[in-house]
Amino acid sequence: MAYQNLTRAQIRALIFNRIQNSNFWSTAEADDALNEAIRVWNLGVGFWKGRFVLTTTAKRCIYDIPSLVQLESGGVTQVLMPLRVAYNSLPMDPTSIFDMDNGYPGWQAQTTASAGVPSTPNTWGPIGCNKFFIWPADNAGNNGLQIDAIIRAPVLVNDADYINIDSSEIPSFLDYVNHVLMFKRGGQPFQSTMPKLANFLRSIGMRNAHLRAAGIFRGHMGDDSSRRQRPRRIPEFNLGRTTMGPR
Amino acid sequence: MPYSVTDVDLLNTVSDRLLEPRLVPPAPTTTQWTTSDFTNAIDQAQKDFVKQTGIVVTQLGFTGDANTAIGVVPETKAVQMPQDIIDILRLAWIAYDTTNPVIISDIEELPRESAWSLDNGDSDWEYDNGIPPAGYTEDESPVQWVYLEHPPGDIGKLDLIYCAVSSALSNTGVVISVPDDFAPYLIWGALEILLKKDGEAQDLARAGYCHERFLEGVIMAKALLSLPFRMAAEGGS
Repeated sequence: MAYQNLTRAQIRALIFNRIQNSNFWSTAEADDALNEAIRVWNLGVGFWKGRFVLTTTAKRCIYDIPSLVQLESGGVTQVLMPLRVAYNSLPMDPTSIFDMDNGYPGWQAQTTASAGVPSTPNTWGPIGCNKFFIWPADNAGNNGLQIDAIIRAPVLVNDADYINIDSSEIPSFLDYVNHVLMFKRGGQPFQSTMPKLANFLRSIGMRNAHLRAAGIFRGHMGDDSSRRQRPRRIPEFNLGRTTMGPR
Repeated sequence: MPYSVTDVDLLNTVSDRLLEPRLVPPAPTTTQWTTSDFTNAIDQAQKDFVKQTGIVVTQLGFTGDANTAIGVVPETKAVQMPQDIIDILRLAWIAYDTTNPVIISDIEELPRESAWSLDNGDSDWEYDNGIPPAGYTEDESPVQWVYLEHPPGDIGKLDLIYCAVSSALSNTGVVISVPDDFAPYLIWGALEILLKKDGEAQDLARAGYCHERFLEGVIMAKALLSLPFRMAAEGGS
């Protein structure tokens, strides 16, 4: 069961409690800023996840996520990034298309009926965040692919909508919303909210060591410049590795 | 419809943050910006984001059950890429067997080569035909074209995975080309462009802030793209 602690209306009231001249901002602005906080949080933390079951198509090795109806809800693709894929409940190994090209040349033309390859798909990999491949392709099709994925952030549309998160995270969301709303004022009032952005990003960094290692995050989180010059546990250049593998 | 955020949603938020009224269609009422400034800014921000992240890829090729691969003229080294291409992420050669009708016999990635290394290490790369081609180069080819190393002597096609120009945003309700969660960073990118405009609209301090936020989105995207591998390598994120 989803968290049902605070509704959008209740959070908006908390937002307007934090800013003195509430007439300067509309409710729509506050709602947009709150939804932005939810989206940024989800991107940084990968907080909201879901399981989807897809039916394999015969011989298909590359699947296009936005065109798969089984991954949609309300006509909108829910999968943001697959994390784990299983074929008929058997977990598959993640790899990159670069590794496949170098480790298994010709993989794209192979199916489970081909000679010298596994009889069931056992490897998958993302291509960008809108496609993924499986190897070998399911020759017969009509089998199950279970996809555990980070899903798109659940934005709040109506005042009665609950935010699906425990209430201990709300203060950092309020910090971010406060900061974003102050952008419109600019100058010193906006500058004075930079520590609030730092608080919000720190709460993301606590859950994501990879982002914590990135210079731009460390700057926003308030790290001093000398520490910014030294690499942390994860070198920044590793951030460049995409789903295509090294280029 | 894969994603749900529209260009109008972006324009409304951009208008809010620049103290302009929300209108349908959104249009600034001061003299600092014009409507086309706004629409051009969100469109440019999205194109820049897609280019820098490769978050959304396009394939012209073989998916296993469908084939939209690029045709190649035998014994010709030059191959034209699609009109919407920004960058090639992977190019592979699709080979066919000798049956009638032909069926795909193999697909192999073509490595990207530098023209200098080809000229100095494989000097007949332009003329000595090969099946499959040994690689490709873009160093000296015209825009939107690639040269195949050892052009194919027989039929075959190219499987292309690439970064494409995103759909043009305006103020008519066009859905963005990247996942909804990245919409905030398109807004920061657009605000950067608008606040760098010469004249009374210019605010370089806030534009610099917006630039950093846009880069934050680029890092977020790259971190997301590598997440499944990091989870596998580290036993969790």
